[in-house]
Amino acid sequence: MSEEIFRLDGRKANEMRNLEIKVGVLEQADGSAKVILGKNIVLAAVNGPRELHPKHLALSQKATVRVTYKMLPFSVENRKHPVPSRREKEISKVLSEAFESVVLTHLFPRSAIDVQVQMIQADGGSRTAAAIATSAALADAGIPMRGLIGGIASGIYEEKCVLDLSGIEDNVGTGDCPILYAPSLDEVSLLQLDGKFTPEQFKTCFNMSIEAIKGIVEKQKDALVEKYVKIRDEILSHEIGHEEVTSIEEVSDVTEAKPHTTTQEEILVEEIPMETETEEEILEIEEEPLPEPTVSPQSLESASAEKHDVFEPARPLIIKNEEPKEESQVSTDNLESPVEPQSVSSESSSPVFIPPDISTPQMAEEQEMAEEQEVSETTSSEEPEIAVGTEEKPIPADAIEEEPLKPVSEIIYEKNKELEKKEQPPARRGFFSSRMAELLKKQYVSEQKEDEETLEVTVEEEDEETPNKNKSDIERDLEFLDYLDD
Amino acid sequence: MKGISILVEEKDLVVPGQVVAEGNYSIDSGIYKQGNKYFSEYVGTFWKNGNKISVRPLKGRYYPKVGDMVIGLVEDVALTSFTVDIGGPYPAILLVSNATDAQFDPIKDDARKIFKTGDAIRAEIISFDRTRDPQLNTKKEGLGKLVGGRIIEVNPMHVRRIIGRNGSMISLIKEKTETKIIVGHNGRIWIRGEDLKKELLATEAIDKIVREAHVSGLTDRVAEFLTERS
Repeated sequence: MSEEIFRLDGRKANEMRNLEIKVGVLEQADGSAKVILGKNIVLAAVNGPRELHPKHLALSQKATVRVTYKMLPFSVENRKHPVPSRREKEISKVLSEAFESVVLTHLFPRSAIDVQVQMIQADGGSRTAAAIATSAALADAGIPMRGLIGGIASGIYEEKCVLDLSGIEDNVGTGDCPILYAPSLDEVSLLQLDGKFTPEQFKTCFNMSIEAIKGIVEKQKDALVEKYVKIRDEILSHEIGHEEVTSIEEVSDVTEAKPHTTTQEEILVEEIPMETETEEEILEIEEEPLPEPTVSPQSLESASAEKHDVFEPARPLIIKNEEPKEESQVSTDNLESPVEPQSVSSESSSPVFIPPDISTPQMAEEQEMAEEQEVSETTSSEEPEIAVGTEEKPIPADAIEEEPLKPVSEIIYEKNKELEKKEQPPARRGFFSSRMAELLKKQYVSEQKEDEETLEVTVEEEDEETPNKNKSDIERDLEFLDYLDD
Repeated sequence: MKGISILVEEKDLVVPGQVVAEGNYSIDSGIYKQGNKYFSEYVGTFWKNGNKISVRPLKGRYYPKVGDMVIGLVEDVALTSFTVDIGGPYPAILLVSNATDAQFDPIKDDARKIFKTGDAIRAEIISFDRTRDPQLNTKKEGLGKLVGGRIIEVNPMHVRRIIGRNGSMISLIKEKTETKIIVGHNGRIWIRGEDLKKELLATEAIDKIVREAHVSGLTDRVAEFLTERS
């Protein structure tokens, strides 16, 4: 990746936007998560496994995973009509299928696991943000899963592979490829592709996304255990502080006699002959092996050893003196979970691909753009068509003349100015419009002769039509270099 | 010991897809095996007992099991049966023949005389499998309609901590707060005290257990809490 700044927000090519994940934000849902990815704000709520209505959808062998993706009317620039759009239905469907591959659905036959995903604010890559939220919320709800899923989009912007396209980059760019991936399983759950990629570009984008997703899933893990670690640290720091105060003189001898590790070993030895019931009791006694939060390691050591001494004699008392109550059978019975999911059905392990009957995400993007952009006569998805269809007019005549609005990088700004002075194509909305037009024109000239040379990977089928791609690639690269020299 | 290596410490927090062990162990629950590795299915705590390993989830819905004592709410009364909500993915069925020993003739008798819609009942699950909804029974001693008191709902994954080993925790709360408490496996807890204050104290103690269930030394903390408050 070149270090040159060429993205609107000054990111590097393989740099993603700021990501925040918070889990358990809703009280009513079984599990929930809030994800902020750049300007995207997503809220996901999980309910289930619960009764499935309507009943005829019930599968006798497994649970149905139903993800519903919805955008709030104010989530985009112009009001989004609240009626579910084709794009929302598509995303709901592909997310449902992607998550069915990781949720252990066979444990809950005839039931439903419902996920509601609300886009509070959308700005490019919203389906991957929704997937990150869904994965975290499912795990938070205690739904058994084979692994956590992360997702990120990558694509072609300015003829370069970039990670995590923002809204404008998505509109102006020529390719978009959202990927959902489970790092622990090394499985791709969702792969959509929109636009034109060369095999090299695709590989670059794919690898970039996979690397980024590994980081995303780490963040999910942190978010999932954060709440529990916080409570544990709070309690332990309180306890340690308390005990230090009470018996600070006696500690020194005990520390030498019983370092921190011995406490654990002793208890483990004792544990083996006992019944499973004893686990509960041991839990009460044993000191957690913890990342010591506030206290120095020495004091923790002493405190734990101390604690062990204090609590050791108390245990037999509790065991013997307690009369088994009415509920006592409960504690033993409840030890095993109802089903032992040792084998994972092979079908669920295969990655989910998009079935051919879905219409292309290109259409989805078109619609999204139409809604988001006020003056969208020249949306990016139209650009390839224009380039192919009309030679003289790579840019529609009715496009609005406009100076570049927000120069982020001075270099690029200057470049654009120069270009506009040389040849004056009608400028279009968006910062890089004139430059894009220039590129597309040149691209078209090279494509005119060998029209079918570019690799075209569509969502329907990933066919590779690459008879003479090398030649055209080199040509185009040369042209691009010439252009940069200008 | 056949196992080769355990990769996380006991009682550590794990997340779905995390490798907890490699080698040869027997799985208790909450873990699946793929190849040579053992993966966690839940956000939970890791447990090891001899060669048996398990992950206990920290949250989750109730899943019925034969023999469980549950607290259900009567949703619907039919001629000879009741539909009961027990909080799981499936509605439970309670036949009149499983509800009472008395002779019941659907032509003459009204099932609503036994249980009405909205009644809270304590029942045992007598049959359940993947293909059929759970069946209940209320004929045993101590089962049947719950009168008075209040019902609170907690996450079913915390029920075993609330009961404690051999009922130690729940009897502690009962003793200190002077309340009657019945814990259902499905996370519903019925509490009846002499006055509202005692019921609320018991509720608070249970909330504390739920919040701190994954940290050791719970019984002592709860005892301390109750002594402080009462």
